[in-house]
Amino acid sequence: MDISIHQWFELISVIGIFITLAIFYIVVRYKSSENQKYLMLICCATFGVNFGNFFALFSDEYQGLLHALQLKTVGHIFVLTAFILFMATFSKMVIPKYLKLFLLSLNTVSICLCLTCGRNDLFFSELKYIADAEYPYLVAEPGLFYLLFRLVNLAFVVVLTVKIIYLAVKKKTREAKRNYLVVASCVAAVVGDFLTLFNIMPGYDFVAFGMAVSLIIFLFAVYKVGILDVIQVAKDDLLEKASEGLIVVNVDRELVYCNEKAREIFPYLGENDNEYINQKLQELFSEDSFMVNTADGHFEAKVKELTENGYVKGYMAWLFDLTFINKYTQEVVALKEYAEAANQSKTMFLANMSHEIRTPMNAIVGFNELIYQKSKDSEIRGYASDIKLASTNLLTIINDILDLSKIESGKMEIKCKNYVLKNLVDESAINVVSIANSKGLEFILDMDNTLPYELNGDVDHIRNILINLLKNAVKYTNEGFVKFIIKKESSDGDQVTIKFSVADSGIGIKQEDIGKVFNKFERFDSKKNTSVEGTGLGLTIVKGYVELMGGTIDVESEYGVGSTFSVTLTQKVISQVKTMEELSDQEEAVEVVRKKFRAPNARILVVDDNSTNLKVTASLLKSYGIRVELADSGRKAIEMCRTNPYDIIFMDHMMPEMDGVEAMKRIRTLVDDEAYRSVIIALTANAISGVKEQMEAEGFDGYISKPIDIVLLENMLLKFLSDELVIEVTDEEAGMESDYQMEDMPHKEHISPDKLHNAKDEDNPNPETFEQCLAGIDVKQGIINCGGDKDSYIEVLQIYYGSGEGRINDFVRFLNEKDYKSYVIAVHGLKSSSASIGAMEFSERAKRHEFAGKEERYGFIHDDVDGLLEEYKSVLSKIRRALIFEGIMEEGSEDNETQTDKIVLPEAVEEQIIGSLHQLMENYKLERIKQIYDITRACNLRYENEKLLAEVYNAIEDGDTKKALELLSAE
Amino acid sequence: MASMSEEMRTKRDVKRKASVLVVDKDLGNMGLYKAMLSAEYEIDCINNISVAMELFKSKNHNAVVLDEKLGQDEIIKFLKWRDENADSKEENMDGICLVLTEGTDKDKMVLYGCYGVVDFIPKPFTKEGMSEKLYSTIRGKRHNDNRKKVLVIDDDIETLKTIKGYLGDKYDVVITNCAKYGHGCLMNNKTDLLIADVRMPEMSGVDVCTLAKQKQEKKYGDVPVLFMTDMPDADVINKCAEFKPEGFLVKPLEKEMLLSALDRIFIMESYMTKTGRKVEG
Repeated sequence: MDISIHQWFELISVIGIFITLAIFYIVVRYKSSENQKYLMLICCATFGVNFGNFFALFSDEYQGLLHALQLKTVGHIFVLTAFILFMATFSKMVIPKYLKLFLLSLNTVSICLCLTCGRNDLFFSELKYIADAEYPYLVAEPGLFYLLFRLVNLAFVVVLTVKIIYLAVKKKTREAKRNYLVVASCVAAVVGDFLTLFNIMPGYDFVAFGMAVSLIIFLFAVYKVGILDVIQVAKDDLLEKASEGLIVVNVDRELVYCNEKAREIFPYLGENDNEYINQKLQELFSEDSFMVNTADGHFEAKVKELTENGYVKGYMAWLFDLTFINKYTQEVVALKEYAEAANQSKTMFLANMSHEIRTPMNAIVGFNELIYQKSKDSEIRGYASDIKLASTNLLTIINDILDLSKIESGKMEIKCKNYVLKNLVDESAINVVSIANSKGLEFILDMDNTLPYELNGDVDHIRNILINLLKNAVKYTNEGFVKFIIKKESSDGDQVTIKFSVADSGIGIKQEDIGKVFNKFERFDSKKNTSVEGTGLGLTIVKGYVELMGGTIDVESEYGVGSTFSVTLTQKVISQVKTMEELSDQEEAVEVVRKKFRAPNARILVVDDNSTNLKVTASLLKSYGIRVELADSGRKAIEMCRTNPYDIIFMDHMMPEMDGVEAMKRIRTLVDDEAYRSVIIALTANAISGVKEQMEAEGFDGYISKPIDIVLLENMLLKFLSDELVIEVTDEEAGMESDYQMEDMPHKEHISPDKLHNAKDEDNPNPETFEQCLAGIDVKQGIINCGGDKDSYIEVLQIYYGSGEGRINDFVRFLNEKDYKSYVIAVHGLKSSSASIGAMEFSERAKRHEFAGKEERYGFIHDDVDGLLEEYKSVLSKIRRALIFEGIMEEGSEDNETQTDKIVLPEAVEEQIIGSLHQLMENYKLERIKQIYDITRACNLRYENEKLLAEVYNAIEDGDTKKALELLSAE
Repeated sequence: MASMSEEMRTKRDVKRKASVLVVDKDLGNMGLYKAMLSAEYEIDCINNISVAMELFKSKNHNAVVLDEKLGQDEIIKFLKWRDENADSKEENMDGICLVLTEGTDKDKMVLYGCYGVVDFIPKPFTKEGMSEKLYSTIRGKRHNDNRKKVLVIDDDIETLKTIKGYLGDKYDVVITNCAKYGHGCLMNNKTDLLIADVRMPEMSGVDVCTLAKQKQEKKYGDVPVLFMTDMPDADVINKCAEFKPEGFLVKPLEKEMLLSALDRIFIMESYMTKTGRKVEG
């Protein structure tokens, strides 16, 4: 086909236009950046150039051609400018500002001159119209500026090309490819330029062509290689792919941009419903911040204004994923609640534990007290006092722990009372003086006498503090002294500040340990101090108390020399000096002596759901000879109270179904008359302060805490039992407890002491009364001692009688063996048991023997022993008569009188029998040995045989077969 | 009804007459004895001690009645022989002995009593008198046999006395503080239960059992044993375990616990013997 060059060019120019348009479109759609702007400009300008070219080719007229030329040129200028700038940013070559300015102004001037080329010849020096038949064209002779423009631009292009080639060479990567392509496109453009410049093929402008080519290459590059800014890509990427959502809206809160995450959170952003979107965005952006919960999580956003030059252009919101933080917060809250609940349950646990622990402690302390009281065996009593010590220690530890937990949980209360300072000091000191002395330590008390007399404060806690410090001082001091100093620090109006110091010459505390001295469970020098007992809680509690009272505590110490603990407290002054009344009261205050007493006519009811506690309390009361009745529930107690009036009711506070308070109230309503009001005392294991007042407020007459302190119990009894019920007794008599059975309540005949008369006639041969049988014995007293009823007294007489002969034998034996120790013990027992049956004179005699023995006046004992035994036998025979009188014993049942009933065996027989014992023992025939013993009871064996047999028998009965064998082998 | 209950009983429980051996020099009385007692008892009459011994050995009578006219020597001979050969575990020749006596020679009676004569039948004898004595003594023995015999070995006398106190009412308790002696008791007397302290100075409860086992006589090794100790110790417990003790008690013992343990043991045993089955475990 014969297509002329002209036609080719026409075609190309048209294509060029379309291409540029296409590129223009593509690039616009692509990410914006500086490069993009330049490219866009290039495209536009190239479009212009091409269009101009096209225009030139199709017009004939001079004007048309001229305009086309202008268009072309202007476009060209733009292209070049943009191209240069593009190349510069692309190759990262910074064109100095002045050069840029120069270029731009040059090009601008060139444009102006070009457009006004009709009037000047600076740009185009000459314009010649060549009227070609086929293709008329315009020849433009380059003017000054034209050349200038071309050269400058060319220079720029060349330089930049070189730079890009350099970069391409340097980087062997994708970037290199990019660069090559750019270079190629540049070259194409440059080639086109050259061709036109040097008028090769005049009339035809290769520039446009070259540019089109270069643009095609660019297009290729853009698609294939990705030509634009890395930073820009990164920036764009960052925004789009950020893990936070981003929404940008304009002033009217219409969507401008949202990234991927935002679309995830708000799916509707990705859709086309613009109205909906904008409505939603209106809502979201109405506040400073908003939050949204989706299936994925929880997001919160802050709305920020976007301003430019002070004008609000729009708003943006970053959506932060707070799911994790939210969950975390919830977890933390849950943990906190859990911890609080745990703490709460710990406190409640301790409060309950207080009760749980004290109940068995009550039993231990109570029963131990009974063992101590009832046992005559010194070894056992020794054990009992050890138990007492240990249980006291245990109680101390328990109290320490409970106190500490109270302090820590802030539940410890300060109870202020008026008190006398001197008494407080004395009470505290008393606790340690004896211990100190027994350790050989000097105890010095130094009290400032300018201190006020009466103060107001939490005296119990202060006492605890002082005792604790004093005990510590004594504990840790092995030689030297313990000083207790009380000084007045200052006084201010009605407040006085007192400093209590406890100084000792003990083992001291190391400097580095001083700071830790108040820590829980810390004890120093553990190796050295293993002998010192304690939980290590004392000082911690002391500090707790001190601080609770608003005071301070200090410690000074030198290791190996001693320590001084000082507590400074401020107390309110009630009175500076003693008043006259107080003085006289003081004189009367005597040591409380535990007066022994019995109350056999008193009726007391004990109510407790715990059978151990019931037993303990009842036993303690029984030791006073009291008639104790028991009830294991409030209900039962009320029933019992309906029918019987009780003198005192001990009511346990905590019981199931009906508690002590309710039971007490109900009992009170049973009787209206105030005169017959029952005294009800609360028993409680509850150790919280304020309980006493609370109990009294409820309506109780008093309160005792468990474990029951026997002194307090006695005080209660003495306080509430009316005088006629209480009978004072001496020591020995008090030791005898009532034999009154708790389980059954028979109506035993009550013998009032007045009914009996003292039988004075001695040894009445025909006694007509029980008392006459026991002439010389104070039966009245005896009965009282035995619980107040005759039957018990008779039982006691039986026991006394039964042991009589054995005792006599023992006395003889002890004296023969000169075993005075055993003798004293035996005669002591005889003294007390004789006194309890009312044999007062005889008891006195036995007492004389006891004391003689203790004072080692053995002569007296030996001289008087026959008389003693005679009198003893006399007492025994009187008792025998009384028992016969009562029908307890039969006449002639005396077994130590004659042995005429007994069989006497021939010696041979006896020997045979006794001889067989050894063999029997060897053959393990224990049963037979027992039978032999039983049989020979009816015989009157020879003494040695009797003794042997008895000993062997007893040994076997005891299980001591070794001894039995020994005994028999010796024969 | 009676026949049904009889059927239900095992062989051992089949009601049979008690057997009595009467030894009397006077042949003439034999007829009398037979006439009086054969309705209720199986009577054997012998006039010679030696023959009586043989017969007693072979037939193992429930009761032996000796006439005092046999003479002290003969009677003592018989009684001594009986002591030597009796085996209470096997219930061999442990029948009760009675002596027919006029009651004048009290010292002889004492002597006989010391050799194991349980009671005396007054002469002249009557049917009622003899029958009653026999009945009460045989029944007494049966009753006594039914009581379980418990042997307690512990070096601490307090413990022994305490246990005796707890168990004495319900059981026949033999206590000893010497393990060796205890072992002897175990070997020579019928024992239904051994309670032994594990730790003892010379010989421990475990040793007792070991010795018992070693004596091959299975019958003694079978005695159920209950070990006691004041300090539970894994080693000790393991050692004891091989004797398959009935239990392990920790001192201090409680009465209730001890009684219920014994109840359990004896109930098991009676179950085993009644059904003839051995209970595993």
